Amino acid sequence: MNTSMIPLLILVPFLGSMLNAFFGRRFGKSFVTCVGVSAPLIAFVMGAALFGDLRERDSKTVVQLDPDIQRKVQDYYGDNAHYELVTVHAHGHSVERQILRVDIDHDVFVADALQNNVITEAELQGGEHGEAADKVVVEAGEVAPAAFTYSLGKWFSVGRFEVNFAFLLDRISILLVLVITGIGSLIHIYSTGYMGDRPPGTFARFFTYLNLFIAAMLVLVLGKDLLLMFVGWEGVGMCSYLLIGFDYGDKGNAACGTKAFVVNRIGDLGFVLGMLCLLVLGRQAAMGDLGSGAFGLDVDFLRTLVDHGGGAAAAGHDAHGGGGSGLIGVACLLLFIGATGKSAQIPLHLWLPDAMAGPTPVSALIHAATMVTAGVYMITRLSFLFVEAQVFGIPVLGIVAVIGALTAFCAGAAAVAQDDIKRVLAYSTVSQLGYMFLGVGAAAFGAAMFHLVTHAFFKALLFLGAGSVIHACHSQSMSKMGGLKDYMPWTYKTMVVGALALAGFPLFSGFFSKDLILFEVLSRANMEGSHWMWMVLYGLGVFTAALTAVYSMRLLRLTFFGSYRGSGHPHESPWVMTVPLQVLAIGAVLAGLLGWPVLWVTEGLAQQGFADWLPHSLQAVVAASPQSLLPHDIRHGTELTGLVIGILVAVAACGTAFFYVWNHPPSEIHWERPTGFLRSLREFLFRAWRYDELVNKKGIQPATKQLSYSLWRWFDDATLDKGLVDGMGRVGVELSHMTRAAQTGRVSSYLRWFALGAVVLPLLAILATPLFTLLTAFFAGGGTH
Amino acid sequence: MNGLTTPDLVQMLAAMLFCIGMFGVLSRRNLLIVLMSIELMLNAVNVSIVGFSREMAHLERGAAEGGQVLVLMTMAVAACEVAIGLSILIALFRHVRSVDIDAPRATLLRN
Amino acid sequence: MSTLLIMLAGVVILGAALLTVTRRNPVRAALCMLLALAGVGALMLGLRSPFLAAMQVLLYGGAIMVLFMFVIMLLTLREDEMGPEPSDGSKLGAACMSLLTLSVLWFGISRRGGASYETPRLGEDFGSTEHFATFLYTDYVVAFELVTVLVLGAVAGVIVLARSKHRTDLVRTKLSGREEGA
Repeated sequence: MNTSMIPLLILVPFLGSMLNAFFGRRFGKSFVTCVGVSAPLIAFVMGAALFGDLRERDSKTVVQLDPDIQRKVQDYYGDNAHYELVTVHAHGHSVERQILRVDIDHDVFVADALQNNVITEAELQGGEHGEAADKVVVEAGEVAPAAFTYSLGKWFSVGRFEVNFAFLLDRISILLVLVITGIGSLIHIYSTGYMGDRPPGTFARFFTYLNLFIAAMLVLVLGKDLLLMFVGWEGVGMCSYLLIGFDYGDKGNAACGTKAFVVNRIGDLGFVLGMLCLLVLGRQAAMGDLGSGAFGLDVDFLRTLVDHGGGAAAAGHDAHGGGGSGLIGVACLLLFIGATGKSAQIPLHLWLPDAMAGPTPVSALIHAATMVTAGVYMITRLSFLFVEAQVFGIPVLGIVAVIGALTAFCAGAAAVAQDDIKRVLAYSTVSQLGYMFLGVGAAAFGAAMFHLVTHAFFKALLFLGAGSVIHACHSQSMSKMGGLKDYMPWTYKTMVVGALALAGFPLFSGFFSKDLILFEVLSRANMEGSHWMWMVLYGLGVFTAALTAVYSMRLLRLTFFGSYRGSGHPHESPWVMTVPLQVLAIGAVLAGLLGWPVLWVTEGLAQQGFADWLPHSLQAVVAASPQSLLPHDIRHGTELTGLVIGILVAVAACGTAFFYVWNHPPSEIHWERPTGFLRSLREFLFRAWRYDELVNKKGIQPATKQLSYSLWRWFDDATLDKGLVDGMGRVGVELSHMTRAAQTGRVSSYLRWFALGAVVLPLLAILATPLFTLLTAFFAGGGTH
Repeated sequence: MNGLTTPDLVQMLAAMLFCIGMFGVLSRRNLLIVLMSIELMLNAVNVSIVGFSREMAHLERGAAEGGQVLVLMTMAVAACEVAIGLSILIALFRHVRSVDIDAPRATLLRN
Repeated sequence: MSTLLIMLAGVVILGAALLTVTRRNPVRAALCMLLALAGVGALMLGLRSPFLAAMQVLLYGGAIMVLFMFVIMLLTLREDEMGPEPSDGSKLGAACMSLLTLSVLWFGISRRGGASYETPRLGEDFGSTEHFATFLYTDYVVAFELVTVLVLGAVAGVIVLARSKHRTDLVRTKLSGREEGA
């Protein structure tokens, strides 16, 4: 049990990055390859080992039965009682329970036992109350899923505010660690091929940044304290900037990197303000009844915050959302703004399409699999806060869901009209992230994380495949591609798998994860309260799923089918590039296994927790969703409906798009050469709803032109130049004028000064004391004379 | 004003004379008049000292006489001062052709 | 008796002094000043200092005022050479300062109490020349000698300052034995 491996997870990529940074150029590309690729691989292996350790710990957790009950059962049933520890994934509930199974022989004792309240709760296996049963199950208690904490000590403390260098490895973070390091390793291997023809210095630099990114992302994921997470947050932002603007010789690339960083920063402001709100809350709570009086941004501490404030918040909910709960709402809203910036949701999504200026492996790693998912991760980590959060009576998670759905739809629509293959994938990423946020908004954190994992696989696959295509065609424009399935068979096959997964075609991984999210949204719509809103969101989600299918098929058709429209001779990429594609394709299919819906498995498998394994495992760590409390049959019915709709939509959309619409060369397809209304629609969607232009016109131009001009005029010119600099000169001149006036050269004025200084003032001084007493007596009136 | 005796009156007279002289110094621009006003101030001081000396006339060891000697010295010094002052006036007059103390060409003392 | 003299002399002094500082014509001012100084002499007589009264008349009246008259007559001032009359503002300011000083002085004077000229032992010879001389040439002889030196210095200074450059004005005063020209 080496929890000390946890900081090693971060240290190894960081070390790799530094080695490449300082020695990469000198020792050549093979050195860089070795160091750069082995770092994430080693981290992955360590992550896998830690995963195994976590599972082992889980299976060994023992729950103690209440001693009173133990004694009573023993008294009652004597030697007939057999104890057995069984872990039951309670169906539909979000909590794992360990149940002590007591075997007895007669059922009449069951009824007695129930009446006598000997047993806390009885759950009969396979029968109704009072029927013949041979088992009685005694609920022993809840058990928390295993988690490792590793602390490097205190970072700093200001007064009672403490921040520790602590890492937390639980089910959520280990999942992301495996995704980051695993897919990261594949991308590193791919990059050795993709960037192979670059000079050694550039090659080394690339791997430096890549490894640094992995290290920073791991800090983000493993940080137990919100501030430590923020360090990783900022770190990945910086690495994103470095990597997007990697080929900074072209100023456009550098500008794209800057844009990404600046938009990120705007979101980070929200994050910081949210942290401040949490600190205020923490201080309030610490001054109250929490033991040591220390407070901070530690995840455990925040959890106690909610538990403590939960009672007060619940009481104050119907009123004006009390002091505590109101601030939690504001804090969560601000944190969500931070997530918006990092995960490219509306309104801060505009940096992601431009981030495609970076090399394709960068897009695959950062903007598909890992960095952009940081927002989802953060909200999942703080799920217990978000489920309680309300702002002016509006639940924050509702806002999250609305924005997620809107983003999914808008980005999906924009993806249908793009020409650049990477931009299609970029908008697709934004859209899928919208799905994840929709899931989070429905409090289905497990489903959102599941989608995160499957998306990481197929989106990375698609990006790497696109990179392969771009490498072959030396162009990113799909109008110059076509017919590549004959030239690049492996790329073609794996991209088909990826596209089908993206489209949510049944049996591929994307289908299961997307379906799960939509199912949760539909369940939520079935509850009372905001019924219509959730139905609208569900409809939007379904429509976007259709759009997703459409643009994925369009991408396949335009890229691989038909005849080659470009110049040159495309050829298949080397094995370093195609093998990761193959591995990812396998993952894109198999990842679906992690969360097969319950309906599709037998009851027995479901009992053993095979169904929805990943989401349910995660749900044990996060806060429960409201819809999980719905009765089983309603949930079943909803699931069935969702599945049917999902399959229908995916198959129909894929089929229509693939076989009907884009079955011709692009010059013959109406959408590719639109006229009239379609033309303006296509134009509008191509420019991504003209959001970039809006931001530019309303925000950037006024800021850079007017604001900077005003600042120059009023501050720099008037205050600094004229006010301070000239002013100091003027002060000197004026003072000298004033003092010069004393030197008139006129004897009469000199005589007057003489008289004043030599006669009047000394006389006054000499007689000051008696004068003073006289004056005070005079002014104080008669007084006590 | 009870208790205002003659000695007090003498001192008050001296004060008034001093102030008249000060008025002349401060307000007149003719150098001759200014010099005369200064003489008036000196005389006022002399009057004051003589008054005090008269009050202390009963003391032993000639304390009062000391005051009178002082007055004599003051007079001598005043005479010297007038002489020098007037010769300065003459010297100035030769340059500026005016006894106005604020005459433009006389304002050589400014920067 | 002496009180009456003191009062009368005071009135004369103040009136003459006021006239002095307000006359435009310097000759008139000088004459008024002479009257004032004479009045001061009379005052000193009333204050039982005959020697000083004599000295006052001799020095102030006989030397200083004569000197003033000399210079006034010598300069033959024209109207424009005399300088303008003081403006009302000047007069107001000067009057304020003078009154301020006067009030401060009067305040100081009024805080005294119990002063009187009725002294138990007042010899007949108080203030007389013989009495004065016994003190001047014994206790205060140093001051006497120093004043002599001062007068000498003043004489030298006057000669240096009042020398003329032009032959047409005053006769050039010869300081050294050497003749310039014939």
